[in-house]
Amino acid sequence: MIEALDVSKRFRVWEDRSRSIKETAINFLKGQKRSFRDVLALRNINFTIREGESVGFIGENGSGKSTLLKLLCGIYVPDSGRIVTKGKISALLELGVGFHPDLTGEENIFLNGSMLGFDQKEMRKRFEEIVSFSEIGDFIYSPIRTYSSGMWMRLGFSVAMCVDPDILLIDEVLAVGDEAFQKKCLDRLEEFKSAGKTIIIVSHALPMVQKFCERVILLHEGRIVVDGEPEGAIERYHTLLSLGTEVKLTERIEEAENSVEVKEERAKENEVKEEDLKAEEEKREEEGVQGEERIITEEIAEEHPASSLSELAGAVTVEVFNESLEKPQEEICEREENRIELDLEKVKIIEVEDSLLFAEKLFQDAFGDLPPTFPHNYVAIYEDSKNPSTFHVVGYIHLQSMGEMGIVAGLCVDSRWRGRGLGKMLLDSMDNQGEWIKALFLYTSDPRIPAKCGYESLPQTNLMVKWVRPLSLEKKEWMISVAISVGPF
Amino acid sequence: MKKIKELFAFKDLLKNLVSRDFKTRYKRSYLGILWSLLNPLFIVIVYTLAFDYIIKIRVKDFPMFFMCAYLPWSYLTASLTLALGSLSDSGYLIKAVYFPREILPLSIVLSCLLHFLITFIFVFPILIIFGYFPHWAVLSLPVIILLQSLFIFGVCLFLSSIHVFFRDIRYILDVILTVWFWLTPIVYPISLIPDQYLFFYKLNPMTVFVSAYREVLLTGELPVPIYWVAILIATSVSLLLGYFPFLKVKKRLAEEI
Repeated sequence: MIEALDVSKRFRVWEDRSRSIKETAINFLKGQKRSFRDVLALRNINFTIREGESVGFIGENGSGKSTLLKLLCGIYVPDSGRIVTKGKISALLELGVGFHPDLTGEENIFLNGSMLGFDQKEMRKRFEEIVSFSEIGDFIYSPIRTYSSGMWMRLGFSVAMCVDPDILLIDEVLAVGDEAFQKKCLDRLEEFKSAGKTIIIVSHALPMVQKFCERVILLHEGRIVVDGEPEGAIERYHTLLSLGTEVKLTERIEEAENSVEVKEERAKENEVKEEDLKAEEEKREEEGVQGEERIITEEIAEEHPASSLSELAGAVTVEVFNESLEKPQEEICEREENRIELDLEKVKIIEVEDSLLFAEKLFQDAFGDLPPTFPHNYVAIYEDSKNPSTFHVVGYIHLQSMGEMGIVAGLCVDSRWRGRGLGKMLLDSMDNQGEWIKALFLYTSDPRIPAKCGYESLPQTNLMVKWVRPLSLEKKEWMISVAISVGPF
Repeated sequence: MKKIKELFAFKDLLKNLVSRDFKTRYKRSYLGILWSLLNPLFIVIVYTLAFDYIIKIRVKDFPMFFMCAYLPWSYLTASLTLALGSLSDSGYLIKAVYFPREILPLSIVLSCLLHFLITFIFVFPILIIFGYFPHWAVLSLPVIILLQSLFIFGVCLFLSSIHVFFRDIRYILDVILTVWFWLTPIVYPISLIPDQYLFFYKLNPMTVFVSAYREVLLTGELPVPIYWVAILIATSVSLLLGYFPFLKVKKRLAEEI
């Protein structure tokens, strides 16, 4: 059994790595700290894998699959959270670990076996089996530097396949040898499976995963997106791939977390009296240019003058602020199925580069005809402490300058995050409010709820663009306020 | 305690690593393991020529005097130089399998210990030839060797952990070892050290170890109790000092190398 409880792992990416005493001394004298950036590889991973399950981990490169595997077998230590394992684990991350070219195949089998955690006695029992499985024959008594690379790999694989762990972790190593050998390996894995062993496979070979695993965990940007049936997970994986979202979520989150201090400052700012507002605004505008998101109160937001938006394009600064956190409305408090309370402090808006496909689909769902293109797409993500294994995209915001018409913003919200799954898009306090800017639409990720749109059919609104205004004409930056509320505006 | 239990669970790995090191060290050389005997023998001859015939240090039976100190010393230097990169150069292992990381320096210390023990094959005959018959005090030799091994293991842990972050250690180590060599009574007797420096001189753990070996092998007496205390202190301090950086490095080891 393997249990991951709220596991997170961050890696240090050294920006200016001093590996010598001299450099350290110089840096120390200069008063510089060694600089590194933390990159979150895994965030709040939770799962339980029971005995006898065969589970596949899939995901794009860099999604954290291998990191997770290494955490499970103890190579990495999690930064937070806990990993509980029961049973003997054998990890197959690399083939022929610790093989020494000058030792014979036989000696290397024992060495490799002991690295995988099996004692001499057990290895002796399996020696014959390993040799015959590897099809190496008499070469087993020659130093393995005389082996061909294929033999080397086969030997490594045979050792790993013939030992008898309770839990087998395999990372992308199944593509070894010719087809016949591969088939043999798969048969071997099937044997393991029917013997009631736990098997965890990390692979890009989706057909194999689909065939072999009864459960698939899809990782994306260090989170578990799907944990369930292989078909569903693989389908979702394909959508993720086709979205082509080059969202550097992890990095963004890092930035956001690094600016926690800034946020705290802002929180103080918010308490500042009205007369200070103007100065505060200027300050905030300056900071806004740096592209940081912030949380401010509505009063401040409405102070902003509206401006012409034509000819503007470019980076957008997004403000998230919370309107009705303090007095949640009663009707909203009725809990519905699927409903998850948003902790608005934790909502972050993140830029998505070129998710046109997605935007198009959304608009098609909502309006039935093709939308204008949206060059800027933002994703609101939510960090949920209660149920961290879900993918927390709360909503999407799509923006485009429409010249004379003003700005178009599309906003959609994942139904899980709100009682009724309704989204409202509204741009006000603008010079030229476009006619159709007030379009509202409903988009839910729940396939049972059909997509809808319409102004009237909006009993409640949860996410809303309050206003959009230019920050600087030169830099072509906009500031957009997005109000998120749990009740009607 | 849990640590030791875990180490015990991986004893076969330790055994295999030691035997790998042992088997491969002289692999493809003609004389093989004989080098472990010949090397110190040549050194003894060279130093005897230099210090007994040319410089004329007045020490009774210089070859014996030197050999009893040089062998434990070379056990230390061999272990330190080899174990230095044991963590940082084993990225391929550390990144691919889990095992208690102490095993890497430990296996090197043990393999050097094995070579050290092999040299006793000629140490005892030579001692007997020179008229030093083993005394019952020799029975304490295993204890001294064990304590020295623990001491060396501590230093190895310390150095190999530091080496993960500071590769310069490798070059500094040479200098340190040379200085250390001359600060240890290996080619000269302690009696040459002026009294006022003697206290500081004896703070060098290797001084104590080397003297203990000489007492046991040459004088045929057990080292005085204060020596035992000193040895125990040196060993525990070295283990503590070694584990401290090691535990710090261990957590991020797989990522840093």
